[in-house]
Amino acid sequence: MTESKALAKGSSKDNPGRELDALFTRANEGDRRATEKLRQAFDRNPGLWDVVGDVAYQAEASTVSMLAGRNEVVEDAIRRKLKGLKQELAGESPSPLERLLVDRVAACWLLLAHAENKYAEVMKERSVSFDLSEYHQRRCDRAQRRYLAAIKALAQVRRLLVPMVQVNIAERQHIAQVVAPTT
Amino acid sequence: MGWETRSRGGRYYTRSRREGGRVVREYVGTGLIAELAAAQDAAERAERRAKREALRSRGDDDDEAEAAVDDLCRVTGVLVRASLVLGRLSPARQRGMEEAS
Repeated sequence: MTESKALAKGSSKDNPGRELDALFTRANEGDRRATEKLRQAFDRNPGLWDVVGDVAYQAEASTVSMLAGRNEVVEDAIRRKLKGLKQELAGESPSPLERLLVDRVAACWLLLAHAENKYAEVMKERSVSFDLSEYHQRRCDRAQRRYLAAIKALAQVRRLLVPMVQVNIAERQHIAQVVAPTT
Repeated sequence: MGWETRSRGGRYYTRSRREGGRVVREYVGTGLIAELAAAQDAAERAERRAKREALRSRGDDDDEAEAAVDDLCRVTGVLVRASLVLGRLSPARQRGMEEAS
């Protein structure tokens, strides 16, 4: 696995997930060395965004293919719907991270719609085994949790990465947080 | 539903349907009309069976799509954490904002 891919998946060769998690935790607590180490890791991997782009493309392609099968008309309709949804969510001038998070919300929304649709179809059948019904219910639950987490991540990034305003008055600096508009 | 044989020979086709909670058998006919009706019923049964099988199967496509979306969620999670730590927002500012809100 290349370093970019490992970084994207949050893993390293020896300690999958743990090394990066530990660095994030220490950086959040104000450890400057951990912050610097993270910054260097991301600076060393400019290909990270390409990896992430590939993952986003694969997620969308897999979900659309699952829903549309070989029906090109259905596939076109789904892609148009996704495009409209993403434009609405992204708003004007989204950052690269926001665009990626919008892709995540859209993919999760599609997966949830499919899971709920399939569950409804299964429950219409006259004889449904408890096992099968449980399987589809759990799939719906997972899809819903994934979707809500995706929306939360987008909202969190938008709320926390709002630009600061700094005003100098009589040699004193007053820093005010620009409150993001709520919709 | 199905083919019935008359006592003096010859076959005819019938269909069963529900009417007011009871199963009622209706006469369709003989010859070509009966054969077409029988073929149509067989095709509809096959389609319903295939649909039931598809619903009961735990599709590989579903698993693949779910795995791909999980990968996307994991990757974006890493980037969000990185942006919050390495971006303009320091932990102190984060705490200040949380207190202010």
